[in-house]
Amino acid sequence: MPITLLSLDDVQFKVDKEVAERSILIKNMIEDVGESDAPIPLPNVSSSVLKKVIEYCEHHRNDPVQTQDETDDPRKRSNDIEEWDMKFMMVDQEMLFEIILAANYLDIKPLLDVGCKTVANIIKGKTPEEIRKVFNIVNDFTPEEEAQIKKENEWAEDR
Amino acid sequence: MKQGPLLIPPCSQDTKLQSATHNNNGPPTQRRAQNKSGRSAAPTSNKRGQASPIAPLISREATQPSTALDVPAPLSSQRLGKAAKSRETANAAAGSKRPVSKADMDDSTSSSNGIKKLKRGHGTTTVQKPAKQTARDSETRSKAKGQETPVIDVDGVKSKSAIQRKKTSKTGGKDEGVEAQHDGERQAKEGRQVAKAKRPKAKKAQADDRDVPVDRLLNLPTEMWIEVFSYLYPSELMRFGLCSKRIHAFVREQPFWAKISSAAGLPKPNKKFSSYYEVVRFHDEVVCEQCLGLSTPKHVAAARSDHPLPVQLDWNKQGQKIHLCRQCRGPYLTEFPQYDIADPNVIEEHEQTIGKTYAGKLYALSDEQLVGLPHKYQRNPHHWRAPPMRLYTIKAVQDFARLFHGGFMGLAETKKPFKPPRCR
Repeated sequence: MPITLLSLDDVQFKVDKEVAERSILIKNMIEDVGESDAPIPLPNVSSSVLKKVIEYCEHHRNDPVQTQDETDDPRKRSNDIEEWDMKFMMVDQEMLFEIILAANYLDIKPLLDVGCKTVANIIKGKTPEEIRKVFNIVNDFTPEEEAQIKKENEWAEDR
Repeated sequence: MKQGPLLIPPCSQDTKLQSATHNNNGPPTQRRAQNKSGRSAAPTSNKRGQASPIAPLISREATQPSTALDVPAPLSSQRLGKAAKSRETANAAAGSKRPVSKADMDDSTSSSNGIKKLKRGHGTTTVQKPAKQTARDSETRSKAKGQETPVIDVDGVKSKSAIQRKKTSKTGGKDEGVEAQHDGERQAKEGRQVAKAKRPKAKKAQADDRDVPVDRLLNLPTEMWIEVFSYLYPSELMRFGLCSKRIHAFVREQPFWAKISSAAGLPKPNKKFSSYYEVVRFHDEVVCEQCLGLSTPKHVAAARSDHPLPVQLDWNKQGQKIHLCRQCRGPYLTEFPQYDIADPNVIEEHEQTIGKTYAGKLYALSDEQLVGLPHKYQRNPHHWRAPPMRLYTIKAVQDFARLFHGGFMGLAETKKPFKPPRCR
């Protein structure tokens, strides 16, 4: 039975229940409200983002539910993104952040993870200068301040 | 309604007046009224340290609709003049200090709203308009021409003027509010040009203007960033923090650092280290970024390679380094072999053999570490009685040294003169 989702800008999306239930938020909502034809309003998600999110859910509709495995490793690996996900995440930063926010709101853990990994990979292995360029950040340190702060942070320093 | 009184610098009135009259094309009565309202706006713009050319325009804008009402123009301007006058009276009572209404600070009033209020204010003033006051108006007008000193008006109809004052100060306040808004907009535009913007409001607008990307970057909720940071090495996060002041401040206060220092068993923030960030920063030489383990050899003269050594981060071959302890170096380098990284120490003839002493010196390895490597014995050519020499192939020693020290970068680091870590 298809479920209708209503985005922020009043665009309706018809998706399969199975797909919609990738989102824990919607899943709980359906459980609470019961089956109905009324569209589910998602006031935090715009149609362009929702389209993307649905695309992800369609692709991952048959994925097993992720088990929360709390390993002892304090650091998580960010280089294990699937190829399809990697391509899926090749969007501009605006969209990337929107997708992460939407995934957080809709409670889609795997999508949230992929989004965060993507952001982490953008930051990874880059010099501050490169990061500034990527995120369009203005460097407001004076040269002296920057030298001082680089000296203080030896880890960050490129030796 | 009234906030703390604000002093008007004596010159401000004149400049205001000048600019007001300069831009003026209306009938004389109206102009005077404008002068008044222009003056009433003076402290706002003056406080921001700039003569405002917009102010008179706005005041005209605010005046004209009231002239366009079905009441004749001179009447309305009279009323305006009166309004300004009663205001002036209030000012004079406060000892030439001008009370600034709260609406000055409040930018939310739209200009149309301001005009509406102004109209309403006039409407109410019209109701109670004795002939006596008209006379007073003319007096004010004549005074307004002088514009030098605020008029101290002692009149009998005190209660009435008090009511009026209350009302007009309200309208005046709205008027100023409108102007303050316009002022704010204009200054936000000019903010970039004004280098020494000391006004906090303008500065904020300026910062917002310029740092929009940063805002967008930081508009992810903090939990999301914590998630993102959990994928980064500490040095990568530290490097991210060097991007800008705001990001630095943001990164510093992340719970990330507390997590690291508790994982590595570092001390809590104390007198010496003000925050977890400081704790971690100070111990960066002994914390492995991979396992977050602490490598602090008991003896001070421990070999350099007992500490975490920089290892080329094989991420996109960006030339960045992470610091790994010995336990983590091996697996890391097995996973990301770095044969393609150029190194001046590489000896090309891999099949050549090398003596134990030389090998140890060249690759910073001890005898015990070399023992396990494949080698062959040769008679010592110098002393025939001496025990036979062990000859190692260079390739074997190189590979071992690379794994042991963390690539050629670690090897180079090992050869640097040993300096004890700061934290000891």
